[in-house]
Amino acid sequence: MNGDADRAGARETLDALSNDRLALAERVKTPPWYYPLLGVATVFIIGSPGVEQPSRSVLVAFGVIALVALTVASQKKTGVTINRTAGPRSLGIAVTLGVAVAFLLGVSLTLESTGHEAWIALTAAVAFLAVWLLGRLYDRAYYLELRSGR
Amino acid sequence: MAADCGVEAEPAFNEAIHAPNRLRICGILRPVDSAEFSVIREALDLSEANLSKTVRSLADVGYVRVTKSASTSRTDNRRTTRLSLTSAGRQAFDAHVAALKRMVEGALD
Repeated sequence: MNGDADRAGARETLDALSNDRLALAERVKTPPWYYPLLGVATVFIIGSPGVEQPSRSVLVAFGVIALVALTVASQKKTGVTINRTAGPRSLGIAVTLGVAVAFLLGVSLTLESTGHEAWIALTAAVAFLAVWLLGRLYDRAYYLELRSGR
Repeated sequence: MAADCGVEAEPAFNEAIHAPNRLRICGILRPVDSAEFSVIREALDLSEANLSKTVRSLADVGYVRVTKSASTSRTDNRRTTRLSLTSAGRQAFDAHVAALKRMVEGALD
């Protein structure tokens, strides 16, 4: 084969890979209900210090079970398992979300230990919004980075 | 525009994955931890027999790992087959894509 034919063949191959990556990005898009439900599961955990035992343990258990169930449901729906980010932007958002949730859990525990349980509901509400909004942002960044191959 | 389907790697043309279906399987598996056999079959529009043969050839050279597990979604006793790219497979894919890009740019003429 000559150089032009090689080059054309290589370009065709790269285009096919690019199309496959686009189809994959479409396949792994999360459904609209995913992040609201993830937010609710997070609320159970972040809000748990606001209630007495044994309700607290029940809330945490429900939250953890819901997180696992959502992960399994997502994998079942897409047929794909992904435990990594697609690039620096999605990684940054994932880290921010993790730090935000950990911080809010810390705030909830502090409020409980200082006798301000009533404010824990607000912390839980902020956690819900953070998961929902940052989750949507993460999805968008992940989709774009996966498409572009970065 | 050509795809940017791999991370930066030293270009190295690899005959073992150059065949289109082999390369596309690696390309789909590259950004994920694993994918069900049916996902790949649907993406490549291949028969089960053809895909099995192609996957076996990739597994034989150590680029693809095949695992079978019980399925909660099936009503029969068949297990779900999942495919994943090995570390060697990721390196080979990235290097091959880098070689293709270089070829497109005309550097390998």
